[in-house]
Amino acid sequence: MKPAVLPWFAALLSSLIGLTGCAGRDVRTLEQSSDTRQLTEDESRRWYSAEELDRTWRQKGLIYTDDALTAYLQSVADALYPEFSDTVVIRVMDSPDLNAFALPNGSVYLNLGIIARMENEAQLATVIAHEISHFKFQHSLKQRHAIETAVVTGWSVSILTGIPLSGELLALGAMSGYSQEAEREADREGFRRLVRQGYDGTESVKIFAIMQQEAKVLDSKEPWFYSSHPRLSERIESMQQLNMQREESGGATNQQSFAAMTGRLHALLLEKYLVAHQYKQLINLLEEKALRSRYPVYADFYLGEAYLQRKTPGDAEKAQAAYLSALERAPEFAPSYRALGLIHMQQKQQADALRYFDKYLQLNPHAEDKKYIELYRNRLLEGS
Amino acid sequence: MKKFLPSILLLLLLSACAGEWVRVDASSVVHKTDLYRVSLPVGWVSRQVGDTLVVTRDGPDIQKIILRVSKHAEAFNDIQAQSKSDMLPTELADLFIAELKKEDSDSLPSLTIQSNEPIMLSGRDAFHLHASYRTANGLEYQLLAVGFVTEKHFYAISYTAPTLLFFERSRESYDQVLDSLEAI
Repeated sequence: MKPAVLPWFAALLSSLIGLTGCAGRDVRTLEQSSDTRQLTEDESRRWYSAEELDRTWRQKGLIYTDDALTAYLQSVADALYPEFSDTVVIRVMDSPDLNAFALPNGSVYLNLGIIARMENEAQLATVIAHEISHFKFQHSLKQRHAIETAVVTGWSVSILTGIPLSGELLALGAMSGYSQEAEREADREGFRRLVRQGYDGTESVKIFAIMQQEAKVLDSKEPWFYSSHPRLSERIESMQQLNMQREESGGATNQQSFAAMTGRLHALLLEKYLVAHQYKQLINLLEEKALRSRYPVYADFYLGEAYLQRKTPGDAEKAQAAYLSALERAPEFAPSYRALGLIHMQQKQQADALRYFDKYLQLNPHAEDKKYIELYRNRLLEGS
Repeated sequence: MKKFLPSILLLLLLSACAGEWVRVDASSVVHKTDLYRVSLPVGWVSRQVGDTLVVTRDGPDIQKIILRVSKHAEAFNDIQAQSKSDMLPTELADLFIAELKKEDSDSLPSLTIQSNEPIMLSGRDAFHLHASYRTANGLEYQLLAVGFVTEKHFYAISYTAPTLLFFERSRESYDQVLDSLEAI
């Protein structure tokens, strides 16, 4: 989830956090849910702001609703931190971007995109354990001075964007990550929980490597924690060290149960990337054979669409080849026929265009774009 | 002084890039630029902000009609895409939707396309979208938008209002504005 705020402000905040580090040394660590029943004034303020954010995001329809998936994620979190099972609530943000963060009231958000990019439950547990550690150590409260400094420096943001600062700053802080010291603390505690729960600790390195590869390929300029190449490098290094210090090796990945619970997100992710014109992400995912194999058989259709959106020399030919590949692998997937019809129409190959359009409408008689296709068909027939 | 700085800056920003609100009366119904001619509803107010004309009766949060004409190279800046004179209305609609979502990524999941159909406007093939979305307060808005291309420009005209009370109330005025639009 990216709040509608100027990217430079998030970058500023991120760097302020890095410079300031843990400003509040007197902040307590939460040991169990009951610790949250009596909050200090500072804690209450942040708790209230976090609840406001929860409410706002829910009202705006930002939360992806899938009861079975949410229950599964919650069960992973509860097993990692049983002492916070009454407080920590896992939610899925309906966003393709790679992001996850925890709010000071125990709300932990995982974007649909980051879950879809994971390979197994051990990787999921790595991210969840890391985020709940931020809640446990109250890192958002510890970095309050950095944020308050940013409020003074960045006051003009509210004028330019109309966004009230308090809640958004809280979210920005959580999404941008914390000081190096705080992140390392979350790494250590998260890793401890991960292996205690019997997961394979080496998967913790892999999930951050997946994020880093994506950030690198996309040349991500976003300061969000899971899109930040340097910060992910730190995590990988930290996880490698923790794995080396471990006496035992191996552990569970629960790949099958994870795939059963999250497999349907892959198709959704492709559609979200396409609609949002995020063709770089699509090409990055689908040109790589190892990654491509995890996506539906018709995924080449999305690769074709991504090439057409990118529009570099040779992309039109690549798109056509990708559509034909999708058609071969998934002959009942209607959008491939539509795409080929459009390509042939633009190439003035009327007979082929009509053939593909007819097949598209035959496979999808109630297509949302039926009226457009009928219009194009009629134009082709008039012209022939 | 620091207390008033934000307000002063806001005023400076607004005055630097936007014209005044002008009430539409019988003598100023027809709004004409080098690129289009359109009839505006009497009693509403209009304001030109760069390449964008904003028209409202009760305030932009209540209802607004926006007409924007951009050069192809600047048509979809947020998603770093351009329009072209030979683009199909479906392609334009896809880009327009992606741009809408990019403008306010918070609203991305809640933006629902109710319909997306071809129409003819000003003698050109165009897309006609009907969408809805919810604000942070949970208020549902509806959006109607039409877009088409000419040799050098992308034209987009839209109408936005809360579903509750206002959307249907001013829809006819929007339809009249739409019907009157002539690309030059």
